[in-house]
Amino acid sequence: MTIQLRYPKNISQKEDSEKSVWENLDNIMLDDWDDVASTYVSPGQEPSEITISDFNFNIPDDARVSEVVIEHDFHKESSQEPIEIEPPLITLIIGDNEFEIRSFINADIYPADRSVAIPLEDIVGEDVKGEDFKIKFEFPENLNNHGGLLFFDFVRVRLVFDIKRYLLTSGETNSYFPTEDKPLQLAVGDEFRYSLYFRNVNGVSTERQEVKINIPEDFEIVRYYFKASKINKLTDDDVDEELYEDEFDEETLIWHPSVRGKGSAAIRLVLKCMEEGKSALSGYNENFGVTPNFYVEVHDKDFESPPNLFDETTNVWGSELGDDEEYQMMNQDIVIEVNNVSMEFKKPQEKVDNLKEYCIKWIKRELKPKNKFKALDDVSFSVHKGERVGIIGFNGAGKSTILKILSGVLKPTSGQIQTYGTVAPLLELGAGFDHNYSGRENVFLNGAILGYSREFLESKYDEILEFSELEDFIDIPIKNYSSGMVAKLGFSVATIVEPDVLILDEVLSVGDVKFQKKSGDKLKSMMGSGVTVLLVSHATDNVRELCTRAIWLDQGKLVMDGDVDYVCDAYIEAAKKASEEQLSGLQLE
Amino acid sequence: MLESNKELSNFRRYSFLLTELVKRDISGKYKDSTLGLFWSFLNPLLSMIVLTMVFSQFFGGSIPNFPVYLLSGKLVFDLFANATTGAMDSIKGNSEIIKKIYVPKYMFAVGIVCSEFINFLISLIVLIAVMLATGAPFYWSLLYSPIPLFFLLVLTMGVGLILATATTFFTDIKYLYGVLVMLLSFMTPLFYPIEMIPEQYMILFKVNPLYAGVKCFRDIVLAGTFPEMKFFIYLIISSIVALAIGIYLFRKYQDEFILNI
Repeated sequence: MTIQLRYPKNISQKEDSEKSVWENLDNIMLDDWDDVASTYVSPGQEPSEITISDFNFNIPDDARVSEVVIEHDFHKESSQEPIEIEPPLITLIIGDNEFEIRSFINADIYPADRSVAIPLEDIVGEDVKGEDFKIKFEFPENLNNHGGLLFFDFVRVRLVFDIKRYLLTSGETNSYFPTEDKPLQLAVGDEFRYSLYFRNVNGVSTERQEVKINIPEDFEIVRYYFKASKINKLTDDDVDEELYEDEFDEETLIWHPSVRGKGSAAIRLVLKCMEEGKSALSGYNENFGVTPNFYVEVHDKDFESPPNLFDETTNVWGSELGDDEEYQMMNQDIVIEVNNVSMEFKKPQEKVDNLKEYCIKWIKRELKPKNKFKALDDVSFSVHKGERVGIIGFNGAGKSTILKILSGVLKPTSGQIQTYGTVAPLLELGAGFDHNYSGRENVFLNGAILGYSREFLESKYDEILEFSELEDFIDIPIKNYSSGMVAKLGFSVATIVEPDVLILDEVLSVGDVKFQKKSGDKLKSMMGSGVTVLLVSHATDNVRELCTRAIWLDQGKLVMDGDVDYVCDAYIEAAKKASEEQLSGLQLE
Repeated sequence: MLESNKELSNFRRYSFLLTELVKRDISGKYKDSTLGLFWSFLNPLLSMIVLTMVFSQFFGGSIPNFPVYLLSGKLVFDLFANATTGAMDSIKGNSEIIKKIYVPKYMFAVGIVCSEFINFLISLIVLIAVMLATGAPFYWSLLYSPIPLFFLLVLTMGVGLILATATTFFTDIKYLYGVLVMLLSFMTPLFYPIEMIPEQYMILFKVNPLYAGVKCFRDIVLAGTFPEMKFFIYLIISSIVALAIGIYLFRKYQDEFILNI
């Protein structure tokens, strides 16, 4: 609930010869007891109607306005024979809606704050902008048989509104959402996932919500899963009412999300295509409307479906994995084993890099470094085939060190690392590019550095060239390339392999916007095919989106290892706490 | 056994890298010059002409075919000096790659030694041309030449690996080695006859394996005989020892390179 208070832009009166005219109406905006608007009202005469509009409410278009409070003031001249005027009728006009309310207390000689409240329904932020929102004051006639001045002071409007408390969305990322023009292409018999998210963006509600999911008859529900975020989840002690768990009725297709705190609830349906044709899925909640249509085009069963970029294959929920037989099968093989790995570095100031210093320190017997910096401290974990593991942590937590160890660049000070299968570390694009070489020569040089053979590179050369979109420039030295072109070439060479284990430092996106999408798609399709993925990222969003499991490192130690949401939530809490502590530390200083 | 198998398969996997590195080194050597690879001929030829003009005045009398004598020594010495210096810089020079991607690090040192050796083979053409021009006889013994050249390569590789390891830890070795190479060039009779050296200093030359290498090569080219046995055996032993030390040191310390570059 937020309150806003703003002064209007336009104040006008309706001209009528029968009625008395207001002067200095602009003073209404001033909020000053001396400068006020005034009108001389003769006996039996009514003052002109005043209309006020164009308030500058700075609220989101989709905020729900629940109440308008109009503060205003009017008073009469303090003379021997004053006028007698009853309170005005206030009309709030929002678009075509009119709400009338009578003010109170007759005009007195003293100023008095009056405020009237008008409760609203179905009004959102968009409706109260500009001329659509007006307030009209109509005073009744002067009942006394003396004429006199009627003063009018401020008009202040207060809006009581909620920023939408829930958001009903579908799909993981908007960039991969299947629209009517680009529907998901599937064949009869294919399965796909459709997810709905009910996000509790602001505030807490204990009301039980109902989401109707529109699933055309062409699809059959195979399975469904729930996922609830664990942030600020209420417990039974926080509310009087009964708490609701996620519920889904396969007959009525109604989902009751379990949102009870900040965070989100989600349902994922695994649907099987039964009939050919194009149809749309959506979700509906009476308060928050309909989600965008999720289009699926089903072809006959011989149709070869292209890689499903819209499918959230990269984001498999923990509960889902339990049912996935293929995953269970894969999961028996360990592909990465990290046993008690520690990595120590000498502090830079103690590094000896020349003979002279070495001799001096040897004579002084200072060669044994006093303190070493432990980048990793006894870290152990193992990764199964097909798992997608995100490694998170603050700066200097040892994330990059572990990736370097896994990719073979660094050897741990102690402990063992075993990897099985081909490992493709995408940590560095275009390593060893020679600027005097042409693009073509660099493909081979860079490929050789990545450990590819000549035959492999020759067989994949056309594919690399096509993906890099550099056909016209491939024979000129890359010193003439832009940095974006160099990155494109590097990306195209690095991603040509089909590895068993993919190691990523942040999600790579290179080149222009078009190529960024293309490279992102390429990575997703690499990840989608049962590849084991290790991703280091600062952004937990990326980790949540792409990984099934997360490992949290802090100062070289493994803090937590488990389900991606669970670990990410805990990490975010810790990050908040840490930044608060830092802030309070600063204040103390 | 398993370990060495693994290294062998690793070597095979990265063998294409070796050819690419050699290609890069050779094409990069004279990359900014218009004559390009032609310098591989021109360089030894010009320096031979200059040195012949200067030193044949002093030593010409006691050496039968001074240009061939000079060139045969100088080519061998330059191979050693260039290749070991190149290998010394190879780890630091490729630090950007080593720091980011796993590559067998010895590839960089081996690559530069190989490319310098190829460069040496190319410049042998100059030697043949000079032999033709000066009317020097071509002996059957020339067929032996690959044997001492092979051990020369082994020696160079060994010293190169030792230097590559040492310079990653101590940068100033690079400057020391520059001086050492100069000293070595005087300790190897390139442009003067060995007979000039007084008996009490001969020991300095005899311990110099490079002198053994030069001597063996000259025996084949100039004297038309198989290399003198004691020099030949000394070359073999010293080159194998150097390579063994080089491989031992490099393997022992290669994992720590990344912490120092």
